[in-house]
Order: sequence, then structure tokens, then C-alpha cells
Amino acid sequence: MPTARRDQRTTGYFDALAEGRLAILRCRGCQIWSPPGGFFSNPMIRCPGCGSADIGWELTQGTGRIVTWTHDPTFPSIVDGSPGQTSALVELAEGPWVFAALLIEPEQIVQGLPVFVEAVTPAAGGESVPAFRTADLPKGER
Amino acid sequence: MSTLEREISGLTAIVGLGITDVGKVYGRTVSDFAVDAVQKALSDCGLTPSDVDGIVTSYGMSGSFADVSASLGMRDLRLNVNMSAAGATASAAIQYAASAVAAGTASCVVYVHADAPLVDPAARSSASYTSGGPGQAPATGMRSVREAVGQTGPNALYAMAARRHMDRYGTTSEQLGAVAVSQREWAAGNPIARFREPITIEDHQQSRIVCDPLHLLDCCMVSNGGIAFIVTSAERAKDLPQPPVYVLGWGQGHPVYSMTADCEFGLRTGAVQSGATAMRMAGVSIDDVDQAQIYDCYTFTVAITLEDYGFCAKGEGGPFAASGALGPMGSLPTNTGGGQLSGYYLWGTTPLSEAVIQGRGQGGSRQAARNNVIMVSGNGGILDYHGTLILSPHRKF
Repeated sequence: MPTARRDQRTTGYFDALAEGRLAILRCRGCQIWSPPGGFFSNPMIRCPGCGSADIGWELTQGTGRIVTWTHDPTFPSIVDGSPGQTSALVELAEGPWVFAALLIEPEQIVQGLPVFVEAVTPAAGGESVPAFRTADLPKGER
Repeated sequence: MSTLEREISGLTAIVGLGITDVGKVYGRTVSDFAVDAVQKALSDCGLTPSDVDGIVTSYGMSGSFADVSASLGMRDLRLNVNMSAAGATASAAIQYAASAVAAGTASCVVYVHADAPLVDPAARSSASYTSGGPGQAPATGMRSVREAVGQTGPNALYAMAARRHMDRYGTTSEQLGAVAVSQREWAAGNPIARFREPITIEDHQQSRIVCDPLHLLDCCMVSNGGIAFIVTSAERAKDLPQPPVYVLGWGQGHPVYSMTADCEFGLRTGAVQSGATAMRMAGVSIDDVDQAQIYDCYTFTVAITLEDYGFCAKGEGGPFAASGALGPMGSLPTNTGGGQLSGYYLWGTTPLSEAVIQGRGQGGSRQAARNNVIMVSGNGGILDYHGTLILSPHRKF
């Protein structure tokens, strides 16, 4: 099973998740927020807005909206390992997109659905990962 | 407009094509496939390794085959490069080879792609783009987060692209299924296609969900094999045995998705820029294109590429496919060998090889009625890379 593993460039990201918070990149100069990574890429090493190297992990509000999503019927659930996991690209309130698990039934998902993040340690182990629930449900209720 | 691109248009041609056994071919290394493909391509056009002064290589998931030029007895090459633009590599490699020939810095360039990701099931394991497979280090950092939440590879990522297109434009799964159905119709006429039995929209809908909304029949296969192409000048092409397939135009487009609020992932690809560049160089418009050989890692890729090229309006790729336009009886013969969905999967060399066959008029029972202008696409990453070639049996359009 694939598990989340920290490396030199993502310690700030995983440290935040370990405290239940979602961090993404922000330029300390021009204040522009950047996504934590692309499909295959590592975190950016310069601010794409101004070119500054003074860019680092900063905590987000942890809220956003679903851009798009998928459901893999065979991938083991991060919650209990049973078959089936839903995941998404979520646009954070700060602007950037993040890859994340969804703790929402597929029938309830629509594009633009407001969501909020929590950190989940997957059943398969490894570092915590971001998982989103619908923002209008009390935390912990599915 | 630069006139240089128009001057270069038609100066070069693809004169040789070699395709090895493809599909579930076991017991051969990626170098075996590469050497076999080059030998077949040279034999196809009556040339020998000593006629070649340039080689461009690309490999899929199976590691390099830098030993190929030495194995073939090539000497004193003027060009020797391995390239990668993921699934757009074939387009880029032909562009590079043609540029060198047109500039006179090389005279006869072979481009070879080979891959052997499939392992004999008797020897266990299967192909996978997921990191951490046999012999690979597990992913770390942000990529490991993506994989740990269930997005282990292209299936999930293309599924999210297709979903976004559906949400925005009303594209349906049945419309994407029409791409698979039309290509399967074409595959029936291709002796080396892996899947040749007809399928229906119902079959597509009944096939298992791989990553919602993508069904199994939305996805390409994985193949072992090798394909090689010989590129030389239009002048020299006239004296060679095969009908030349001239390189009229090329382009690339790579959106570099921002992954932030304004990102057009799933809605618009590099095909917009790449197609326009290639058509301008070739001196053709979209209405001049007789057939399309479109990189089809997924049915969705075909739909969005066709609309980004301008064969239909933005967002209308699904209805365009559902109209039957892509099939043997349709207005735009597309992926006439069955493509990567039904034929064989060797990255961008699949659509390129079919374009050469069609350009020569050697498609047999699947030869499309018209082949004057053939548009070929390459697509790589998760819609990150795009390359276009415009090929023709005629030196100038």
C-alpha cells in the first residue's frame, strides 16, 4: 500500500498535518499562496509570482471547495482499509489546489461543495494525510 | 508570420517504419525490441545502419537501451539523443529529427521507441505506473500524499480531468464510450490489434469502474514492443522504395497547469496551441484535415484533443464522438488502427505509426477514404505535454 512519507522538502507540511492543520506554500515577500505540489512534482522552490526563494510552509484556514473528484472502488479506505476510497482536488480558500481524500459519500459530492480539512492517519500507516468533510456537517459525522 | 516555418514544411519525410511483435510478448528485453524495430525500419526502406547518421531514442517504463546504436554497428553519429516529453515524445522526436535533417546537421535519422513493462504472468507481477513497484523506491513527499489518498496513478488523475469536463460541459460517460466503440470498429481491420471483437456502448457501460467516472473500456492497455521510424530529406525520399510520408507541420503546447484557482486542468489542453502552430506551418486549416490519429491513453483524451484542435466546438468532443464521426463511416476517421485503446500501446508511436501506414495508403481494409492531410497528436503526463504532427503523402499542401 502506498503511504505518505516525509522527505527533506516536506517536513513543514507533515509537521502541520501532525497537528491537524493543512499547510501550503506561501511567499514571504509577495504573500502569494502556491500549491504544495503538482501531479508528479515536488514543492516549488521559488515563488511563481515574484521569483523569490523566500517561500515556505504556512498554515491555511483548512476550508475549500471540491474542484473535481474520483472514486477508486478497489483502493483500501484510509479509514478502515475496506475497499473503496474517494478523493479529490480541492481548491482551498487561499486559491491553490490540493490532492486529498474525501470522507463524503459519492452520492453527496457535487462540484463546488464546501469542505473542511482534517488530518487522518491512514489505516495503512505512514504520515497523516489531508481528508475533507462537507463543511455543513458537524465534525465526526458521516 | 515567419516564412521560415513554411520553407521547412515538406522538406523532410518519414520513409521507413518498423514495428516489432507488440502486446503480450515476453522473454525479450527493451533492447531486443529496439534493435528489432530499427532493423525492420531500415529493411522497410532499403537502407543499412551505415546510412544512418542520427538516432533519437525514447523508452517507456523499462529503462534505457543505450546499447542499440553499437549493437547495430552504427558509427560516427551526428545526432544521438534520448528524449522525454512523456506521451508526447514521439511527436517531439520526429520534430527534432526533421529539424536536424532540414538544417542539414544530419541526413538520415532513426527514431526508436521501445518498452517492455509487461512481465510474463507465469513470472508474476504486472505493469504499473504507481511508484514503489518491484525494484522502485517508494514515493516520498507530496507525491506520496497523492498516492496515499488513493490517486495512485494516471487512472485517478485522468478520471478527475474527465469529471471536471463532464461537470462543465455536460459530457457523459456514454459519449466517451462512443470513442471506444468507434476505435474498436477500426481495430477489426488491423491484424496486429490486440482487441478486435466489436463492442457496444452497453459493453462500455457494463465494464467495471476503474476510477469513477472511467470504466475499464475508457482505458488503454499496456504493451511490450518497439517501433522505429526513419526520417530523411524529401529529395532522398524520392529514391527510396516506400511512398514518402512528408512532414508538413509540427507544434507543441504545454500548459504548465498552475494548480490554483484559474487552472484549466480537464477543460483545456496544450492541443490548442500545438495544433494551431502545426497547422500554420503546414499551411492547412482544420477543415483540410482528412483523418486524425490521436493519442488515446483514455477515451476522454481523444474527446478533449479533438475539441482543442477545433474539429468541433469547445466542450462538444463528447457529442462529436457520439455522432459516430470518428468511426469507419464517420466524417473524421480517427485512430484507424484501433489506437491504444484497442490496438497496442507504445506511447505516441501508436498514432504516429498508423499515420505513416495511412499516409502510404497501406491500411488495407482499414484504409481511410482520404489521407491528404493527417493530424497526429501526442499527449503526456496528465495532459501536461502535447505535440502535433501534420503528415501527408504530398510534399506541399
